[in-house]
Amino acid sequence: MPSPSSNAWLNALRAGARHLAQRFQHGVVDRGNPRIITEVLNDPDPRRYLDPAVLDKFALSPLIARLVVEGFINGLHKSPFHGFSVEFADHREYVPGDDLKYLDWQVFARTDRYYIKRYEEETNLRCYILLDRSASMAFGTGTVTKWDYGCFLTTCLAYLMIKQQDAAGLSLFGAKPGLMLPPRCRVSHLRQMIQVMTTNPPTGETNVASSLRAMVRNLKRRGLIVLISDLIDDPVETLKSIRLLGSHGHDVIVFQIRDATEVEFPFDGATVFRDLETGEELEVDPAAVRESYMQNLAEETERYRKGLLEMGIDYVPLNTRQPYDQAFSAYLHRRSKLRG
Amino acid sequence: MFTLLAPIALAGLGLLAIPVIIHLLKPKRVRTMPFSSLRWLRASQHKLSRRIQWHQVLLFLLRAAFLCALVVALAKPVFSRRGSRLFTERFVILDISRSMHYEQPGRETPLVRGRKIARALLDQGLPGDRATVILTGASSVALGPLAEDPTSYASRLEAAEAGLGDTDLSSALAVIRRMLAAPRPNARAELVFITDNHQGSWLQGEIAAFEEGLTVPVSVRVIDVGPSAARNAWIADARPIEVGGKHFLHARLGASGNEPQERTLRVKRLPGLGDVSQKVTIAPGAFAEANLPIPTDYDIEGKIAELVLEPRDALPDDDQFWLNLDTRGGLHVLLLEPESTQIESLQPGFHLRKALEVLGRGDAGAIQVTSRSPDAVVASDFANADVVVMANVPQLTDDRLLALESRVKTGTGLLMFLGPAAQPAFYNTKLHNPQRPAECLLPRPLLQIARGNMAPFTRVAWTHPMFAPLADPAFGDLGQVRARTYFEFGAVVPGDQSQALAWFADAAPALIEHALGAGHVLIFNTTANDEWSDLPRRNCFVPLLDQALRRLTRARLSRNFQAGDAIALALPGLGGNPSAAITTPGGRTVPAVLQQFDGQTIARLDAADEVGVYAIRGNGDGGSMESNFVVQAGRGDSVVTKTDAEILRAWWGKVPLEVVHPDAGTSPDRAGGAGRVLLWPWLLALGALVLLAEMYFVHRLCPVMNPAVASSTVARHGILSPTSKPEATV
Repeated sequence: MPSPSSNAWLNALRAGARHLAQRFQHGVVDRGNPRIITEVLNDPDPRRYLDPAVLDKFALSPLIARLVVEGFINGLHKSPFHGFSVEFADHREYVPGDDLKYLDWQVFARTDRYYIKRYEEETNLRCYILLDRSASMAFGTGTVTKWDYGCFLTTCLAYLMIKQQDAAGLSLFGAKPGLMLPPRCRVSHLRQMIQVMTTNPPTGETNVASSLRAMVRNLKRRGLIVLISDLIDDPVETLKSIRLLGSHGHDVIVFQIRDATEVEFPFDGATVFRDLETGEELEVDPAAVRESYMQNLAEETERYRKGLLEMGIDYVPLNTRQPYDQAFSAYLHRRSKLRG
Repeated sequence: MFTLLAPIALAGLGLLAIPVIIHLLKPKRVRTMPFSSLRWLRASQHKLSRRIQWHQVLLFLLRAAFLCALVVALAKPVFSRRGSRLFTERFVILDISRSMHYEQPGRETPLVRGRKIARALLDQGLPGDRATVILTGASSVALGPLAEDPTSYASRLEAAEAGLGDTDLSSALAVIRRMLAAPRPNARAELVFITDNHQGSWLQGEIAAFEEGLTVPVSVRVIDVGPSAARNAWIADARPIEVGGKHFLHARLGASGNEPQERTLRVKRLPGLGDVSQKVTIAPGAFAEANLPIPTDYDIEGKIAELVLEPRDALPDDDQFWLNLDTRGGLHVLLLEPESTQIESLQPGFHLRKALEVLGRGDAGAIQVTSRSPDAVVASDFANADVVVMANVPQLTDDRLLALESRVKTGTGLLMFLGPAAQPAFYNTKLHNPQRPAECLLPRPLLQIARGNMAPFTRVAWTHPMFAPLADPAFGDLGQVRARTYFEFGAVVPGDQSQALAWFADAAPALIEHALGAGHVLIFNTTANDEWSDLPRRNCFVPLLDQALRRLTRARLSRNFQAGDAIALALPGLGGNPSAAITTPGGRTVPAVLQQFDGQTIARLDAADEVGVYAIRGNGDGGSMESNFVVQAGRGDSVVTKTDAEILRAWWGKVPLEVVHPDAGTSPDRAGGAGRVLLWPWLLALGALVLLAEMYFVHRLCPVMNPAVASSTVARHGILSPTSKPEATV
């Protein structure tokens, strides 16, 4: 049963979700219905919540993130892929300040000494999630916008990171760096991340390159940078800025989120397209430009792929219709490389 | 030269702007789609605009070219070679005279053939041309004004029937001249005469008068629909005569053709007479004569004999002649001549008296001539006269003049010979009334005397009954008459209904006929003797005088008229409140128009359209009367010999003349219009080609170069197998 504090928090999330729906008119979905969450918690097949369409019914919450991640992990256990383990690995002597919940009371009973459990994957890896909050992220033709997808992805990745004893931080950016939450390894930090995302909807123009350049100065310690963006910017400058991140010793994973209609461009009939960032309008015959559009899109995607591949950076193109497990797998794969 | 027949159609080019305006003003039904970014769209649009621009221009040019070709074609452009006239004003003159009813076994009559040809001509006019139809017999009537769609006259053309009148194709020229009074610029006139083209159909003078002052180029085409080898015989004239105490019906017979004709002349309608007939041989070019005996004791009172030639030939109307036998014996002629000399041969009426003596010898009852001087004539002299002859009379007193006028109006004929003694002042003030020229003895005023220098007779109305018998070459020297002196007459004024039957050198009328009341006036613009001309010494003088007397006395004595004549009969003894009715040969009863002149009732019938015996019955306060009169078919069309084409060309002078014989295989249906090229069929063909090119460009080539067309229905369904694969639409 969810706790009373969770109910209040869920109500706040619900209000935030309604605000998002009204602003971007992508349909109002009554997310965060407590009854639905109860059903989810009791659902014997949690893996189905990897589907963004299913998750769209829910507001962001650590519980949802837990469901998603555990569903993913369960799936991993059943698959031949063993990328990591979260089993207990070792002890270390207790020092004041350690979290008592990791105190091994069995060892204390045997030895009368205080020891803290150390998990196999315990690390001081600092993960920075850089989430694009430019107006273009608000685009979506279904019920899931790129922003929604990115938020859910951020929440679930953060949960996964925290579950891996990594510190997860969040930084929003658009035309310039925005709000920043330093990496922390507590679940409560996850709530703060969620609150930041829900209270800072996408707006403004995109300038990935300058934002990254600005943010890199604030990333004091090396860590894993997860860039979640639609990368609608000059590929050359963007790649330069990402290279800059790598040159500062960071590992980078780039998740490029696109809406299904951006990829397929299924429009028909004369249409006036309005740029969500600049407001500029362009009347186009979609049938006439489809081929060229697809070609341009493919060229840019290929440019990013090749550019990031040359840098040794994982590039994960995502579609708002795709389940999140691919993203999770990519994160875990990268993390395992870091551990050597 | 290039012109447009329907320039208003060019306004259609302005209609091209309508869809453009609608396109510009119509709210565009496009949806607005918020999109993440336009960067990929902007790049695509830029590439496309660079690529398709020239295609758009070409497509626009093709469509505009098609519409322009269509609009200009609707404006009916016409091109004509430099110097040629563009439009034709076509006059189709159809001869509906008696001779057009020439019947041949197994063949159409000339009128039926002529109607078909006329109809074909109406159908084959080129756009821009105008045409009308003129029906011509003794006179001409146009079916309507020149029209661009003359087929509207077709029904009346089909209903045209040959009449009883003789041919006068020249009468159409006056009608045509009026219609050409305000010609269109760049127009020419084409006169197409559809006729049997026999001798006597044309009047040279009328042709010359038509051409004078004409500003429109004219061409003439004569389509000869008459039989090539026509032959005809007719009864030219008949009268009762007495020779050696025996009575005869004297008939003069004529024929035309290549060979003499054997016929039988028979008398009908005389009960109790039995079969009276005689075989006759009639040679072309000369009159044959036949005398049919009538018993001396045969009661001729009220009887009308019908003479017929048997068997009937192709023109049967002139194979019969009705002769009123009940005519008063003798002819009383009152000759008015001044006592200028005691020398008989120099007297003004000398030749007249001799001619009348000759005429009187052959007729039953002879001709009684009473000579009086203008100062000695009394009213009773006028009362007893059937014909009054004025020979060089200087003037008459008012009472005598009044008596003369009164007699003429009641049916007495007046034969007037002018001369040096005739005083124009008297004639123009006493005999002529310029306000009412039809109600006086002299219809046209006398001007000065002209010295003609042997002026010949011209413009002779040979088809007029006055001159018909003069076709006999023995008497036909009227055309050789020369005049040294004659009067010039004033111009014809409105209301003048007189007719000039001959002219002196086209300068002055030589013979004028004029109807006054029930009587007729014949005015010879020469002396009765040979002082001014050699007419009295010509062979034609006596027969001419004979015809003149017959014409002047037909209402009073012979009561013998020709079809087309205006008939006026005196109805004596009716008194006040007269009424009269005329019964036609066909049994119809028509009311007679009655007029009163000095207490005398005159009955008029303006158009006798049947030949045969008419009966007239009159009633009034003074009593009633019954009488008959006969109407003969005209004899002017009896001579069916063709007009010489060379002579006809000479008469038309510089006007191009073409004589076409449908029997000879030449096509009479050519509508003319040489030198003119109609451009709109070519423009329509060009527009069709442009449209095909546009369709091919849009559906075949554009999908390769213009993706905008790939979404067309045709391309989508692969009807024309576009080379680019159509994109699937969501």
